[in-house]
Amino acid sequence: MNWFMKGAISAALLAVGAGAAMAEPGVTDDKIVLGAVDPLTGPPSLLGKAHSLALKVWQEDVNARGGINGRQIEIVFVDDGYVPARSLQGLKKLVEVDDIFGLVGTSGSSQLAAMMPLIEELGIPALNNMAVNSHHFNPPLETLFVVGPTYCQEISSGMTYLVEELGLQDEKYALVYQDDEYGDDVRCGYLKGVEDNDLNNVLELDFKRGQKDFSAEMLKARAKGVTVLVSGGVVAEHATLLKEATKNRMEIVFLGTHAAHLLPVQALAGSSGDGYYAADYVPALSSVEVPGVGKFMELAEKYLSEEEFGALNRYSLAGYSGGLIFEHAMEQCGAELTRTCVVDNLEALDGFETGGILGPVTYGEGNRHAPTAVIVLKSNSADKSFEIVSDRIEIE
Amino acid sequence: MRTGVIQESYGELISLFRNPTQIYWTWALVIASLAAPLVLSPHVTSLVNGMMIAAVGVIGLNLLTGTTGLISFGQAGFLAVGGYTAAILAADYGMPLWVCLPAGGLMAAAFGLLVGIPSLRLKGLYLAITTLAFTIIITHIILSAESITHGSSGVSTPKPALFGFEFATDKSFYYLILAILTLAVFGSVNIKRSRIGRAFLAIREQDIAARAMGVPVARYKLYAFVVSSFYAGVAGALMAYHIRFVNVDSFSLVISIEAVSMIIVGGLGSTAGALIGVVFVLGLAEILNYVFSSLGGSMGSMSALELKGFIYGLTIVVFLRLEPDGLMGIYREYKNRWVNWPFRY
Repeated sequence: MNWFMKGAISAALLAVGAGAAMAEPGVTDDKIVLGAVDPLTGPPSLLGKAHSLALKVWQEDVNARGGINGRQIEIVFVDDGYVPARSLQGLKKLVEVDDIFGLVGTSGSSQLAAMMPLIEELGIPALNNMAVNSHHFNPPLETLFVVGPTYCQEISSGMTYLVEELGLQDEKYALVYQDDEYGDDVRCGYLKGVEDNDLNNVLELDFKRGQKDFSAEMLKARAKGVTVLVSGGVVAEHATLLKEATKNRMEIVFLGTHAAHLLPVQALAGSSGDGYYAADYVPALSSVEVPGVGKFMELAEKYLSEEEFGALNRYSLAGYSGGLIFEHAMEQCGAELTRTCVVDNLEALDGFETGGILGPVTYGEGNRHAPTAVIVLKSNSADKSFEIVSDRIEIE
Repeated sequence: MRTGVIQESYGELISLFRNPTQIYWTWALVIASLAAPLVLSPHVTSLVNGMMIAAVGVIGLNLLTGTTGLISFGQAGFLAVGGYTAAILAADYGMPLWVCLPAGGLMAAAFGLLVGIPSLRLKGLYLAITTLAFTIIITHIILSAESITHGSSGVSTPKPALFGFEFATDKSFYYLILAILTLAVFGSVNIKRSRIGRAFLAIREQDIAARAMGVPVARYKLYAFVVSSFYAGVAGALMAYHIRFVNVDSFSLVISIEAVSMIIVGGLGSTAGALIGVVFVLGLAEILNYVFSSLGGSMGSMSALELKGFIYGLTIVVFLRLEPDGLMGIYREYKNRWVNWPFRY
């Protein structure tokens, strides 16, 4: 073999090697593989199924529209059962077996916390739109983006609505909250709401995680003459507190976090579940007048079975809007899709709209949290629905 | 003609290996274990690491429940104590792994002593409820002592490193876990063939009779609790390094129940049974995950997901109902048939 042939072969090998080194995980000429870790079994599957079904709808819709710059998307789902150890195992599987490009489902707050070191280490573009916690963005990770307000921001905005729109300035306010990080975040919002609006805070009670009986708490609230109750319960606790209030013949205005914006909470509360308020950052599924919601429901009807359609809830809207944000960031990269490019495009988002599902989404250098805006919804148990009762409350 | 393995002296009866075949198989297992990370994918290695960590805790539970007959649903609590001790020492005080691992075990052992005291007066279901309560109490303590435990935020653990060597990948961490599991297995086997192990067995069979024979029952019951919780504490510490994050959600009551089901499925009182039980229960969950994700497209239908949980539960229940001696019972039965064929006894 002469020197020319040797040189040509070496150059060819170098080019192949360089190409392989530059290839992005999960991206081929005609496909982009994304991953989602969600709780699909066990009690929290109420959240995870709704979220993953929305991602499925988004996937089908993108592919029907020709994909992203000609590449079809494929989402691989992993069930973590809401156990942090399994979330990490799931992400490892997505990275090593499925070779994902990015992560569009990050399960719950602790579950994401368990995955964060690996996300940071591998530089996986990830979008959390399911459980917002300040630890997820403070300090920020380069590739992890968070959408939606914290519970603190939700509750303080909700309380501002109660004061400014319903005139509940001179009422007696109380808080019942779970004795964990979630409850602390709700309490943060409650105290901010009290301070910002100069309210009369008469009672703050914490309860143990998993507590089922709230009769003592509500008796204390009655004794204090509470008229507005802010709930720091997770799901079933909202319903139990509402029922206890009715049992004690208390006429109260009730405000919960977005976790109260679920039909099972309304159903569990029975007749007591009429007229309570929930502070959320997505509208109700029935708010089809919002363009983004109308479009999502139309697509869901097209791509989901009847059983799957019935499993949708507010987490579906959060998941779908997350998909739209990720799609925009990938689309902007054109044919040269890289993780760095997607992260840059996410960082550059400035007032990105999701058809009214979320408030404007804005990130920036060193800012990985887009709190968007809060909407207050009111429960209508007769129609088994929620209606939007406030304008978008922007978060500073 | 071969008619089985006959032990003719006390020394042979308590020896680690009863015949050359066992030694050959043990060597084969050692070589396979050492070579495994070279052929397994990183994901499967990570799963195996999780199984080996669970095995350390389950071997400890087997000594308490299988060998001594003291039913405990407190394993998740001991895991939490070990995990949090290691994570806090590593993350907040910068302690090295060689301090954090034994510290996790020792702290859990101290709690084991505390929980063991009621066991002197309680038995059966009453003891089970007491140990169950321990897990709940530990969860509340962790959530309340926020200044030490970081409350519900959890603790992020640094990458494991030993004397300057960082276990940067699951494959390298595999060998550390394997070494600890090997120590755990030898510890358990040796305890069981010693005076202590025979005292444990005597207590399991009939504690009054054991006392009449001169066994100090109270001391040995406490000893069983301490040893078992030490194992669980070490497993918890390893878990903290493996996941690199601990919070109370990682130590739910389900873990205690799963641990008990593992020793029953594997075969109560047998160290090998405990290992097989771990592989069966955790492996079944992974296999079902794989099968359902392969059959059901990218996600599978809603009903398929529910069916997965149902099959998992049903398999374990059917197993417990039809084969109370566990997988080791099945193994012994087939081994006896093979060795004694064509005779039946």
